[in-house]
Amino acid sequence: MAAMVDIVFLLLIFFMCTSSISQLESSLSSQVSHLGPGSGRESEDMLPYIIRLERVSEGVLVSLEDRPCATFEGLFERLRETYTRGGDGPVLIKGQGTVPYRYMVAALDACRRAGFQRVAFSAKGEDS
Amino acid sequence: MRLHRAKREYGSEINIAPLIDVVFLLIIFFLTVSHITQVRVEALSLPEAAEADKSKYLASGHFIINVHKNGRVVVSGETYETDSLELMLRAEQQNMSSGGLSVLLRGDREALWARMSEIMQVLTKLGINQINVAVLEPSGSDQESLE
Repeated sequence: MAAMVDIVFLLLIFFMCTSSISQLESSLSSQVSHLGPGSGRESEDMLPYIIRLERVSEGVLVSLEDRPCATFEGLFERLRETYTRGGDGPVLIKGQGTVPYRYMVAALDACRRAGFQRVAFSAKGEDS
Repeated sequence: MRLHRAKREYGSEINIAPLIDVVFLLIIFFLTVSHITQVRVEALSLPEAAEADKSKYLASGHFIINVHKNGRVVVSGETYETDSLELMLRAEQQNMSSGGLSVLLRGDREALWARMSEIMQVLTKLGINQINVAVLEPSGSDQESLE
């Protein structure tokens, strides 16, 4: 009986641990846009700030309004500056097809941390 | 003799049957929960984000789309191509009594943006413009580098 209780407790601890690991995931909400800037829908609203991510040989080049940033922390600083100056305008994140997804999420995270609420991924084609 | 009897009473066994019942029930609960999660949630290496909202992830009713590193799309354990995914989502939307489909996109951190944007194009085609992306809370203080 004692051995069975030991096994049952071990199983219980195992399942409790695995279920708590799966709950460590969380989520970020985002919009998806298939339209580019100035293509009609955005014209009613403010023009969005554009974040562009491009694949280069050494990694990824990220730029805000065509001005490159050295790091994602640099992008965050620039976004915060833009946010305090111009308010909560929409932000559109565009990426080259070869850019790994984690960089796109890092850009979204930087926007959220800076305070922007209307952030959208551009879901156009390869060279969107 | 008296002393011997008193010793016996002191060492009488505790009834552990109810304890085992409770523990078994807990095991069945955790087994079921982990099975349900495994069917809908694939083992992926998710991207990290500091500004994540845990409450939104835990809210039920999300339609979970998993995207593997190689671009394979898996929903509830079944693999879908772009066309079949669109058909399935369309059917899912029609079956819904009210409100739009709430999508949770779980993409591997190394998946290419070309594949992810293809899936997002499918979603926008169906009128789903608001999505939730699954992320992990950062493990340490290290920031995402550009290299």
